[in-house]
Amino acid sequence: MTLDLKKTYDAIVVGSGAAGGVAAKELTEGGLEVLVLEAGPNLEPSTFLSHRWPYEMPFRGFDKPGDKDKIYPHQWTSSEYTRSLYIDEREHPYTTAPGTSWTWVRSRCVGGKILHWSRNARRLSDYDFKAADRDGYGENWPITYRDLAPYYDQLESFVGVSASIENIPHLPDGKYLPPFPLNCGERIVQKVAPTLGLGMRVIPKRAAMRSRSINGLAACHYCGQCGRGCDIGAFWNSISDTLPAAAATGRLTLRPDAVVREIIVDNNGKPRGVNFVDRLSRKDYMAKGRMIVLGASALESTRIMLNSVSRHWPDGIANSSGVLGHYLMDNIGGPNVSGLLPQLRDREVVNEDGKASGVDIVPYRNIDSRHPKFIRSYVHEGGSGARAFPSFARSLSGYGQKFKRTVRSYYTTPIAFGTRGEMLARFENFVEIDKDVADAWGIPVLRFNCRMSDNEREMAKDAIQNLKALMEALGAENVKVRDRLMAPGFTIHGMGTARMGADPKKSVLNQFNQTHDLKNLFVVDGACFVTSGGYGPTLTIGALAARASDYIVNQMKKGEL
Amino acid sequence: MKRRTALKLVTAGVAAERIQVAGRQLIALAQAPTEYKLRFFSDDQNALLDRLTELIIPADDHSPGAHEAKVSLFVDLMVSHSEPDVQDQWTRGLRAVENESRERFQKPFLACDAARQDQIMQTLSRNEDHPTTELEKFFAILKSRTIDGYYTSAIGIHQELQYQGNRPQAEFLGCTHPEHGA
Repeated sequence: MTLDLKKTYDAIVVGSGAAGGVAAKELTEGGLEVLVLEAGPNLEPSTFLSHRWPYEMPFRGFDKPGDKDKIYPHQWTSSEYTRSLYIDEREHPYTTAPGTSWTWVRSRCVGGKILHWSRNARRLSDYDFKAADRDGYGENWPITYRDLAPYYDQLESFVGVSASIENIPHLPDGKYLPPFPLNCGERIVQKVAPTLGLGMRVIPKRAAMRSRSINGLAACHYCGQCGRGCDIGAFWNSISDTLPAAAATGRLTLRPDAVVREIIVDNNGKPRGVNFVDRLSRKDYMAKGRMIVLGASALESTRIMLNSVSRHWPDGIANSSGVLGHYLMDNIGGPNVSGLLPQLRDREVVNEDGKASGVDIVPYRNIDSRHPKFIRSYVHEGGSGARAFPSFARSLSGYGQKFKRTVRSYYTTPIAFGTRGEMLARFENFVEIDKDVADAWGIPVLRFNCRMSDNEREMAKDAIQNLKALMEALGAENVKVRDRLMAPGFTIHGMGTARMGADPKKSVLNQFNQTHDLKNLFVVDGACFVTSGGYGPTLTIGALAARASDYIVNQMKKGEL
Repeated sequence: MKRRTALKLVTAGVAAERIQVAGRQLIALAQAPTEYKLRFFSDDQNALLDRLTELIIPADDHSPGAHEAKVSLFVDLMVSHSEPDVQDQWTRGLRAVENESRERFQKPFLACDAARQDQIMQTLSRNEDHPTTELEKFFAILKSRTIDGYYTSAIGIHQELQYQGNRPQAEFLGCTHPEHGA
């Protein structure tokens, strides 16, 4: 359906990624007429360069020299294969306060970042929701695991998560499809890691990709190119699952290329629609809705709210607390090791990177005991086996026959582990509107004020020390250790800035992602997070969006909204 | 109506079209490597570069090497789009190799026999971890781009490494070796 500017939609959902897609599905299935506004274009999956070979690319996948620095300096996960899935930073600037940093990776297209995400789909638990109770730092979430569990169930059952049942209290099991089998190196790690005495336990990655078909959605075909966008939609990517489900109700209108500028309020300061500018024509429009549901990503949703200034809301809409923009978080990223397992030399080459999902070393710090240097925990993500490009060859010395033979011999041996950990919620990490800089559509941009703290630095130190010990125990050769804690934003897990809470003075949203100030304004993406957890937030974002949508549908039926 | 179709009907496809056009251009480019015209190096420089890349990754009984994989043309493309200081490094590096050969053996590098060419390669590569001389520094970029070019070529990927991924497959087996498990 095309957008009807005269119509007042039951709900306007801003954003079409993990959060917006789930909200669109749940709200339309609940009977609401929904308009989804997406800032970017609609991409056709058959145009993704999913199976393209490097020698079919102009620059072999390495990019035209210089382009990265000029056009995509912060889009570090993007490549020559995926340019259409990421933004051009010349059109989408942002600023950082002196001495602070943020790596802002963005996708503006129908589906957003979930088109190329890592598909790590671990549940949070009361270890996270009630973290403050345990160690005294920060705030608890206004929900418990029990509140969210049914929505995790519902989401996993629909999109499909392939994983193993493990009975780990701080990493609850879900409704899973069979896990992907482990590679040789991953099985060796599974055997060796527990012998270190650190409490390491290795399980298959909990992957929101389908080891078999469910709900008419495709199963994985093991090409291994998830990061380029999936041409058959075999993982949760919004455009193959939640959005088509919403469209099937006949109650969805999806308007791509609609860059939302601000929320428009009535004489009482209550939202009645949004103002957006067409990405291509640069013309302004206003769409009307009874309810506004922001799911544009934590930082874009908060940017819209901070830019929605009126006499009623001089500091940004629904910001009576003054907390909007604050408690910005990412996960920690950076500490990683790689090496070669000599016991796996000279094997027959089989498809080892096709499942594109390795193993997790389950969070093991600050679970049963307390670390003296830091609070909260982290996870190691890793994998093993032959990858298309033998990047380890760069670190092998020599040339000629011997060099070539060595690369071939070690081709099947690479192993690598990285780390994702909890970044603490701190008031002094925040975003604000930079009034001096606007994007290509004239919309003022965000200015970031964000730093890692000693807690994150100590956590990273501990993580790298343990990963080094693991590589040693494995007998790995050619070990490379990268101990740098990356700038916040690096893990692409922007969270917080409109956090939920029981106290309207200390939070923006209530436990149903509804603003404390305005009944008809919801924020259903990562902006609501109270703590960052130790790993990717996407599954939890989806579950929270489903829960909020359920609440909206029920409240509307009761006439409360 | 299929869900996919339904979604298509409610949305516009402007960018998709743009990407399709770009995609066709890419395929055309990949299918016509023989038509490649040097953009930066001269024919003589390219001949030297071609030989140097082949010395780094040579043909053996397993697969062809950098020469057949046309690695020097890939290097030319990348260097042609690089900043002047990078271009300079390459020009100076090739000249330094040539000078080394004329000084030591009184003839151009390409006129030297395999043993003498290898002697020069040994000089180039002797301080790989901490290159200091012009020749040593040149070896670093030469080897790095040769690795890039060779292992992303059809010969490198399919014949040499026999990589099995990047195509739809019916199943994923994982490890089938009992000795690797617990």
